[in-house]
Amino acid sequence: MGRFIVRRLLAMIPLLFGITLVVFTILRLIPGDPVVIMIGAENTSPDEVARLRGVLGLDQGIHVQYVKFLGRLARGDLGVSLGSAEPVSRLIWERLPATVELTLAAMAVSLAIAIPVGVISAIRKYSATDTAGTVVALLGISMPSFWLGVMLIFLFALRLGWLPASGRSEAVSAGLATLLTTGSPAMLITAVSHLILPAVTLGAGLAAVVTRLTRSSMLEVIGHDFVRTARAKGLPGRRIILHHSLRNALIPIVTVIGLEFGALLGGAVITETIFAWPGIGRLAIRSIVQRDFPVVQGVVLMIAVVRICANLAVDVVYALIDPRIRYA
Amino acid sequence: MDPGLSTDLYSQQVYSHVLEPLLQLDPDGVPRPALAESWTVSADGRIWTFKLRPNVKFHDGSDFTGEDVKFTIDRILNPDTRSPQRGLLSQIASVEVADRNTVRITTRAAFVPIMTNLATAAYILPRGYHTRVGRDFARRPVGTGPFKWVEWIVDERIVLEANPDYYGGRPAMERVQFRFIPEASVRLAELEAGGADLIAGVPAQDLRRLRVSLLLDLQEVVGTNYRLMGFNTSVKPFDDVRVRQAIAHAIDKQKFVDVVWPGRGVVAEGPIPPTSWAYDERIRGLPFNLNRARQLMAESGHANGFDMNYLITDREEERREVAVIIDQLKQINVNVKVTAVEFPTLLDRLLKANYDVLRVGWTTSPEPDSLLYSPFHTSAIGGFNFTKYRNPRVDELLDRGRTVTNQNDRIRIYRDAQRLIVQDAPMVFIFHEKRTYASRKAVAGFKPHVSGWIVLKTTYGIDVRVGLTR
Repeated sequence: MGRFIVRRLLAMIPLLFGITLVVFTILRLIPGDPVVIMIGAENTSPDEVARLRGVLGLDQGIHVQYVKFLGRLARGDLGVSLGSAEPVSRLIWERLPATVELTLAAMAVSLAIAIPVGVISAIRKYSATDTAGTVVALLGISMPSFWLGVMLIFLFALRLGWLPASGRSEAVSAGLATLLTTGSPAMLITAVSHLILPAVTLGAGLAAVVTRLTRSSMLEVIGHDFVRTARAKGLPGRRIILHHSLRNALIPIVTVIGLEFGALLGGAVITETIFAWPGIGRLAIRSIVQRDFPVVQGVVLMIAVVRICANLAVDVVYALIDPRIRYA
Repeated sequence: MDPGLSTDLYSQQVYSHVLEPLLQLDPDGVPRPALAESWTVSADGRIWTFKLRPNVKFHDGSDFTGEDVKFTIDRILNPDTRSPQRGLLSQIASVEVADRNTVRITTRAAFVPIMTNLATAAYILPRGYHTRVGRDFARRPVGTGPFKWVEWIVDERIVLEANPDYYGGRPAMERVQFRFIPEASVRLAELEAGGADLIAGVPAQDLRRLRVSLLLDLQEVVGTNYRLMGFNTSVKPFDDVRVRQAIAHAIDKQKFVDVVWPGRGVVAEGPIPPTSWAYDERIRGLPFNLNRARQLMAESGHANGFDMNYLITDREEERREVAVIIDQLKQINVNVKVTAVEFPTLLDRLLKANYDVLRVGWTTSPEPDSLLYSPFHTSAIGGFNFTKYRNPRVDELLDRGRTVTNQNDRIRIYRDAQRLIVQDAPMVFIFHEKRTYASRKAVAGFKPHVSGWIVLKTTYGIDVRVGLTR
C-alpha cells in the first residue's frame, strides 16, 4: 500500500506538468491585455502600457515566460498577482480554508441526506417513499445552483429570517475553538448559520446523484445470493441491510463521491459568488475577468492537486471497505 | 488597499474613508479643499501652491506635513512603484516642500485637470509609517480621514471605526463595515433582511418596486460616462461623415433607452452628461430623423444600404440593445451583423482598431478633459482615440481646455469642442448610464457621488454596513 501511494504521488508530477502547460498556453491565447485592464482606460497611454508590460515580463515570448514560471514553481513560488501585486500563494492560502470548509460541509450535508434516503428507497422499492425520493432527487439534479441559491436566500433569509443571506462571518473551526476555550457557543452558531445555505446549495446536486446511486446499488446487492443466505440464516433485517448489503453497495458510491469532490470544488465557484463566500472560487472568477494570469494559474494548479489527491484517496478507501482489493 | 497600487473602484470606496487627498471632489465633481486649505496658481498656469491644513495628525499619531505630500506623489511617479495612477499625475514635473505647511507642485505645461487628478489619484500617505511597514501598508492603511482601519477579512468584510481626533469633528457612528457581495439580487436581499444598510448597484428589475418602497430609499445618479456606438473612421464606408450622420439620425435613442434601459439611463446629446459641471444644455445630438438619414445615405451613394459589422460584448443588456439597433437601422437598409465577445477581447480589438463599428462605454472622473481628450484628440490615435478621429480645431480646443483656469471659460471651450464632435459623428452618443443605490431609512440623506463613489456622511447615529459589488 505504501509503495502504491508513493508511485501514485510520483505520477502526479508529469500530470501537473501537462496541466501547467495547457493552462499557461490557453490563458495567453485568449485576447485581452492584463495591463490595459489593470491600469484602466482613463490612465492608459500606449507607451505606459508598453513600459508596464516590460516591467511585468509580459513582452517576452510565451516560451520564455513559461520556462521562468516553471523555474519559480520548482522553488514553490507561484508568482505575484498582476492586479494587486501580492504573492499568489498568499491570495490562495487566505481563501482556501473557506472553500475547503464549504466543500466539506456540502459533502457532509449531501451524504447525510442521500445515503439514508437511497437505502430506504431501495428496501421499500416502488413505495410512496421511494417515488418521493426519486422525484426529489430528479429535482436536485435538474436545478441549477444559482437558481436554488437565490431561492433559498429568498425563503430562509428574506421571508422567514432564520438564516443570514450571505457572507461567512467566522470560520467554523474558530467558532469551535471559542466554544472549547471559553464555553461560549455564540460564535459557532453564527459560523454554522452562515454555512447552511451555501452548503445545501452546493451539495444538492451531489445529494441527488448519490441518492439514486445508493438506491440502484443497494437494489443490486439485495438481489445477491449471500443476502438471501443471510436472510435464510435468520439474521435481523437491520444487520443484513447495514452490514451485508450497504457495505458492498458503497464501493461505486465511494468512486462517485471521490470524482464529485472535484466537481464540488468547481461548483464552489458559482456558489461562492452567489453567497459572497470568501473562497478561491471568487478569486478565480475575478482573476479570469482581469486576465490576472499568475493567479488563475495558481488557482487551477491548486484545484488540480486537490482533485488528484481526492482520486488517490478514493483508491485507498476502496482497500479499506473491500478486503478483496489490495494494492502492491 | 494601497492607494498608489490598487486599481479598482471598490478599494477606493473603502480607503477614501481612511485616507484623504489634498482636494476632494464634491458630489458634483468640483474640487474642494480637503488636506489643502487653499491654493493659488502662477500666471503661466504651471506652478500650483497649496497651503496645507495645520495641526492634522495621522491615525498613528504622526503629524501631517508637506513631506507626506511629496512622498505620496513622488512614489506614484516613480516607475518602480508600478502605480496604475501614474498616468493621471504624469504631467507633474516636481513637488517641492516650501515649508511645513506649503507645497509647490509644478506641471510640465499648464494643466488644469491636475486638480481633479490630485483628488482622485493622490491619497496622502504617512511617510514615516509607510516607509516602516512597506507593502504591508495595503493590509493596514493609516491616514488622516474620519475613520480608522480596524480589520480586513479578505473578500468578506472591512471594518472601520470612528477617528475621535478627526479635525472635522468626531463621526457620530462608532463603526462602518464594508462587505463585498458580488450578486446584485443577494445584495438587495441583505439590505431587505437587515444585513446591510446601504448597497451600491440595485438589480434592474427591482428599481420600480424600490421607487415606491416605504422601507427603503432608492438613490440614482447619472454617472460621468457615455455609452456609444463608435465608427472606425479609417474603413469604408464609415470614413464618410454622411454615412456616420445617417446612422446617427436613424437611431431613436429615446426608444432605445425605454426598451433596454428603462429608468436606468438618460438619452445622451453629447459626451458630457447632465450631472457634470461642464454640461451645457445647448448641446444637441443629431436628432432622430429618418428622412434626413435616408437623404444622407443617398447622397453618399448608399441608397441601397450595406452590411455593417457590429462588435459588442456578451452582456445581456447589449444583446437586447442589438435587437433594437437591427430594427432601427433596417429602416435605412443597413443590415447589422453582430459579433459578441468578452469585454477584454473587445478592448483588445478596440485598441488595435480591428473593428468596423462597436459598442462601448467610456467612464471617467467628472473632469471634461478625461471625458474628451483621449477619445478625440489626434495625439491619442493608436491609444484610446479608437475611432481614429482627426479634427485640428477640436485638438486646439482640447489643448486650450487644459490651460484655462476659469471654469466658465472652460465650459465654453468644451461646448465648442462637443459641437464639432457631434457634427463629425465619429461616435453616436446614445445614453448616459445611471448608478443606483438603495438604503434603509436610517441612513437617510445619503447622496451618491457623480463619479460613482460612496462617500458616507459622518453624521449617522448607527453603525453603517455598506454592501459593495465585486
